[in-house]
Amino acid sequence: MPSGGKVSMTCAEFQKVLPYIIDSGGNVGEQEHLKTCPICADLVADLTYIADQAKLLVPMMDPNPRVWNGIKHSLEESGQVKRSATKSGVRGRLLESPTRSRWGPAAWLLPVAALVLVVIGLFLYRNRTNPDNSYSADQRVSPSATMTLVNSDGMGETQDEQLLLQLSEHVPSLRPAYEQNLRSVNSYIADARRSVQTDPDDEDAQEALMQAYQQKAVLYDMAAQESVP
Amino acid sequence: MVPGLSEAEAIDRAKAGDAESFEALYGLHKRRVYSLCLRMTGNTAEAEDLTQEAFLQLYRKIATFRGESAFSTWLHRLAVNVVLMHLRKKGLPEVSLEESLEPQEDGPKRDIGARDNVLAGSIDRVNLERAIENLPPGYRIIFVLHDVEGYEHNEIAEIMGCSIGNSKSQLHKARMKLRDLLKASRAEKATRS
Repeated sequence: MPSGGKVSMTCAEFQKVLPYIIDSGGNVGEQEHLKTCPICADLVADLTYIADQAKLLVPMMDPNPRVWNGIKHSLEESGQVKRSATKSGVRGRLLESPTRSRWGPAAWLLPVAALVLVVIGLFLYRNRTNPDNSYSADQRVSPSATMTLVNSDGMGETQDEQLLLQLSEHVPSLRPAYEQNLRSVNSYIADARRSVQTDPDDEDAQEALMQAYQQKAVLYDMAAQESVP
Repeated sequence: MVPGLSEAEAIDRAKAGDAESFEALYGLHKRRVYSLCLRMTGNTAEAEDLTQEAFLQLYRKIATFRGESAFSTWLHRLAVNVVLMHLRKKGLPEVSLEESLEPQEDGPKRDIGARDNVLAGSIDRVNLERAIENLPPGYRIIFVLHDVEGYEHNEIAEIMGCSIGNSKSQLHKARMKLRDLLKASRAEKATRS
């Protein structure tokens, strides 16, 4: 626990109390040590940075459909719901859709955008899972090429803006939710892309990038479904 | 969501046993619950089982939801309890009640007398997710609850059955361990490039 107001303290003493003072800032002696000790200042900066980055982590992964099937099966088995009481075709949606409306003439762009995103994701995935059979090293899409593709065709911003514009016109109540989701997914794509660029052989980063693209495709798909009367 | 149905209406209908509304609630919250389970266990199969268990419990307990907190908060707490119950049954170490801040064999070491480049700007979410996955289970749970999910130390102490001080020291160790992992990963990448 924080000690009294000792003015001079060692790094060992400071780091011993750090877990308890990192949020509050500590007493005069601890603050003084932090100001004058670059090692402890770096340590606190790193720990604070990690905590800040963790706050930005958002739930990005959907569970496998077998999870819902398992839930449904369990409820049916236990007699809590009648068999086939839930329509198998009913899909849970991530966003509220209090109203449905038709899209304007640009409606076709949405599924196309989603398709392109999925294709990019799948392309990277196939590169990862089957690099020898499907593509030679020269034929593989480099991360920078992917980034150029996504940026240069305006997928990153123009399409998003168009999507939000359409939502504003037809289902204004949905716009904030889509806006927030797009921000999250775009930021995740940017992070994943950076990781792939840093290390093109990093399989986790490629997987993350693919998932991020898929999430964006799902978002566009959901928006497209809003046009179903 | 079922067309024209708000979350509050879906909750009311699910309380009355409406399966379609329950499915809609699953659709709304599955990602957050699954992500929580995945981050806390670090294992896809376990996370799927626990997500399933959490929603089954939701179905059984939804009638007890009185709206005193947000539904998502209530469900989140339910899911956390499901994961912790599972980990207790499994006998995994959660929080050592006897731990001290002395460096442990596999734990993070104090940073005294050495200066390295700070991490700021050098890590992204992919790296961080991976590092969290590699944390020892006890550290991971506290870190996920506090830094990712936003629980306060007093809440964690209550959930985990430990002291607030213990929660703080475990969180500190988790962050220190993450720092080590992230720096090692950065160094490894620098060597390769």
